[in-house]
Amino acid sequence: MILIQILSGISHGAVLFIAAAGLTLTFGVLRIANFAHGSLYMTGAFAAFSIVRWVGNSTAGFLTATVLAPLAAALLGAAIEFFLLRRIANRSNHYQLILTYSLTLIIADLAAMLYGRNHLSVPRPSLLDGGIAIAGFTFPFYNMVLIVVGLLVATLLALVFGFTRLGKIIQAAVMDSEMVVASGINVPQLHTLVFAAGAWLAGLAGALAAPVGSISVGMDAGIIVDCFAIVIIGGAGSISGAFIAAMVVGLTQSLGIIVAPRLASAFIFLVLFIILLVRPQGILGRA
Amino acid sequence: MNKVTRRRLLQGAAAIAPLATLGWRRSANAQSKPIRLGHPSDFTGPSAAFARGQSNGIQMAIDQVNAEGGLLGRKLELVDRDSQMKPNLGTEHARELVTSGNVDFLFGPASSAVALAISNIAKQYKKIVMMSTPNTPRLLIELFHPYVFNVSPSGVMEARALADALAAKYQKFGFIGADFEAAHQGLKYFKDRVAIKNPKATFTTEQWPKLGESDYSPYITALLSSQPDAIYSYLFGADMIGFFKQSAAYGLPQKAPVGGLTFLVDLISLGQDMPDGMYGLMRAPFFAISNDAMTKFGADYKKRFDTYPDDNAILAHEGAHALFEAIRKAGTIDSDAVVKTLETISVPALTGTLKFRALDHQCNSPLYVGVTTKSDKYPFKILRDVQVVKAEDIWSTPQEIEAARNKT
Repeated sequence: MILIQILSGISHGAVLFIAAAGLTLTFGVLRIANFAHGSLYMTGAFAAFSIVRWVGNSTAGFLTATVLAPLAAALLGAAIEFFLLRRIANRSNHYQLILTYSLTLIIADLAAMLYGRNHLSVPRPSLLDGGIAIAGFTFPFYNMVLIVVGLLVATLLALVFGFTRLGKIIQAAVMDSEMVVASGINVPQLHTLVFAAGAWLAGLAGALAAPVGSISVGMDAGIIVDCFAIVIIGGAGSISGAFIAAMVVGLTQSLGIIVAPRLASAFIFLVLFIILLVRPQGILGRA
Repeated sequence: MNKVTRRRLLQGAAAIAPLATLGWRRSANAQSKPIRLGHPSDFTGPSAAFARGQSNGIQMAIDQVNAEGGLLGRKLELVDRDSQMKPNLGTEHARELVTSGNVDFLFGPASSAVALAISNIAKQYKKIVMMSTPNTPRLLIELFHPYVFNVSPSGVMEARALADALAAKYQKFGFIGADFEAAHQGLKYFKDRVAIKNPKATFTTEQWPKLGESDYSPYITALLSSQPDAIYSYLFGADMIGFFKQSAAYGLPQKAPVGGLTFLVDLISLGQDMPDGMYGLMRAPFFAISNDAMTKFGADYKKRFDTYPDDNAILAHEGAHALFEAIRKAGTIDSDAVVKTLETISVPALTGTLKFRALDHQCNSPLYVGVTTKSDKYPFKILRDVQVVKAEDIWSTPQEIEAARNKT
């Protein structure tokens, strides 16, 4: 039973990680606390809903949705960076906060106009429905898939940062952006790319979460709080920090509710609280 | 502080002065003017579908009356306002409707918190407010006043109806509910009733996910490991959808049936993801009420709004009819006269004969408990073996109400 509880904690952490990795990435490189990150997550979920309805409720529909929906979010992200954020890149942070916050309102209203305010539901593909028997209990196959995808995304990001020129440039931009400018890198282009990548991760998390729960306007506000908490716990800008933080939060939540179910909604903030007291810069953050 | 209050007061007086004369002039030719019905409700936010249902149901009642020539020789007119689930916005809309909107009666919102705020305005301005969705017992018990009426069963009634259905069959109960006040109250009423009906019953675990939780996996596994026979759930809307979709793969519905308050909009959203064999407690399931009036209402509603009449549409429709009947019988729109009439009349309605108890203005609306099953008529799960629970068997007794009112 404990094993099942641990697995469900990890699968919870996996989705949190994918969503938060995008936020920490944009924060690290662009120095923007992107409030609209939750909106991009919601965009991924709504896009997945439309694609599944269009292609059909089948495994093919689900796969198409998981490929195309994050791309839709990435395109939207690139457009936001190119047309809006870039225009105010040199202003103070307040402008960026106000801009990304107003985007959350605009995107939420657009979603409500397009999809209504009812709760929508994406069915699970039949291939991924059902469960695996583990120690006498059933664990849903789909949650297993979430864990695997979470690990794949973590590996992909590790490879990009460890072995590609782009990854090195991004890391350099996190450490010292002026140095990157000085070495002749096209920084505006890099910013669009990174923002789009962050949006892609948000969209992927949204598309993966769509068959798990319900989709509705309001899911954007739900995830953004968790994402910011994870980014702070892990250390702003650190992808591996976000991974550790997401797992810590997922596991604390799933194991914690056995001991103290009344504290369920507080666990993520308890972790945040402890981290801020003990290590204010985050688990892997730089002081 | 003093300064601000005085300035506010002056501003308010300045704003009200021209309106007062306007109202006086209007009342001179009141007979030809329509009777205006204000409906501040939560048209945006998580309860948007509820508010829309209320508005549709009220509008259908109005159209019927207007087609027959109106009420007291005057047409009826509905004015919707969006309170967005914000009590302060509900207060503002209600006050504005009553003071400058020339509204004679109010219909209530979806959210309990907003309902308490609007009820307070109704009390202040002596205007009748007819509620159809909120279920907080505070509305009619602690914060009762003569001008508030509720067609919706209260939270106490709902918990008791479900407890009666489950306590006879099951011994060990698990609980899962979103972490907010109504769920805590609901569990308390449920436990109290189970203790009376089945003293041997025990509770294995209580799970309190946050409102709007997206991942129910750890809660489902925690419920499973406590090995209950049945689960009492206080989740609705998005939370309920997420919970049921995720619990199927864990085999939870087969191990322990889940029972909880279920709305038609939830059944429609869940579609085939709603497991079979769950206990659904419903306020007005149109598909389970078989009489000609309901069949006709359902068909008309579907034709007009291209959706099925949800619980809120039906209850708001009935509340509107009861109010109109009382106005007709009283022969006036005077609030106090209509209150007196509402306290005494019986109104034939879609769900039976409606009456409001004078003590708390609680309507005797029944509740419906059944088990979810596939339907070959509708694209969503419906209830089978539906039992009608009479309000008189489950509502707060006069002694309970007196005790609660004396405490505050």
